Amino acid sequence: MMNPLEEAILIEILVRLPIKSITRLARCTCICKLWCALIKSPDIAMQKLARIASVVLVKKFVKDVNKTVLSFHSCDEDKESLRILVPDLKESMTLERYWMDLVGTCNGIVCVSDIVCMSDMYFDIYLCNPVIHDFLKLLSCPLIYPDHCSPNNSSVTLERLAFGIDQSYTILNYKVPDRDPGEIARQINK
Amino acid sequence: MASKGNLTLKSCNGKEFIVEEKVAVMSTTIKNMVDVDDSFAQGVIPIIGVDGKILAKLIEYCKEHAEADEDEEVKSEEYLKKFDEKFVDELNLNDLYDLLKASNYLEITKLLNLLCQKVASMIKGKKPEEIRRIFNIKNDFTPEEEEEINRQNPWAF
Repeated sequence: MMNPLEEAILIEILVRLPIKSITRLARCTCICKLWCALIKSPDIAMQKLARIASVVLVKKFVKDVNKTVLSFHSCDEDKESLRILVPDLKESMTLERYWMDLVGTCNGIVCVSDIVCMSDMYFDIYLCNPVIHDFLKLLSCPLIYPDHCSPNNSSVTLERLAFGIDQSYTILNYKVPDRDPGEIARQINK
Repeated sequence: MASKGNLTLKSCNGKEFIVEEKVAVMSTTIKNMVDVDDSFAQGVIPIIGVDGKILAKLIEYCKEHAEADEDEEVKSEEYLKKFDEKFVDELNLNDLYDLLKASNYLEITKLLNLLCQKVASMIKGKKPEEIRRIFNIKNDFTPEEEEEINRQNPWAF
């Protein structure tokens, strides 16, 4: 009967998995407690990131569904490209408009915004880790109109958003502040 | 006693191997031993926890690579690549495990890389149950914990 592998060796193996497998692994952290802890650890994500030669972010408009989508493509060992970056395609199909945009990138983490147009207009902010191919929805809030625009004017920009990392914390802490202390910042602070 | 330039390595089950120093020092652990204490270079170096079969495999690998490092023309990169492929393909899972541990302990970086890559390719595309079976991992989650984990959307920075 084989003994379990030492932790150090296991880390070496996990960082060598192609991106698609680690995504699957990230969803299957149920293998055992040790694997779960290792897969979720920042070490793996960072080492993994360092191994990828390059990740290309593509923004395109899909005419059929009237959507702007973002996709990541990588040149990893399998020469596979990552699938299109859409948080929930099924849900978004039912919406009138779907408009993803890049807020910024920092330390390998990408911040994207998405305008949703239903009876009211909302915008959602997501953080994405392209390495493990995963999303974190930060918030969804009604669009803020600049004072000079009427609420009926849909030409709203997201220029007021910024994205960065606060390295004064021991735990990497990503912040998405609003340039003016407005509604977005207040919502994030909740 | 090994002649000058050669080292004697002894496995945990008492098998002795006489190898050229340049082959043995592919292992950083052995290199450090020899560098620090000259007497190791004269006598027998015990390789704790590694049996004769695995030690022979390690030496086979190190010999090819040490020779390639010395003379690139005799053993080209392509030749080494083929050798590496054949080397890992012929291993059964038990030997792969033992070699992994031994190359980690002896710090043979090139071999450790090669073996980790091999194991990674075995995990690729497998379901959790299959991975557990292959690597003899016990699922130590309670059913409640497992359900919780499946429900969570992992977010690893």
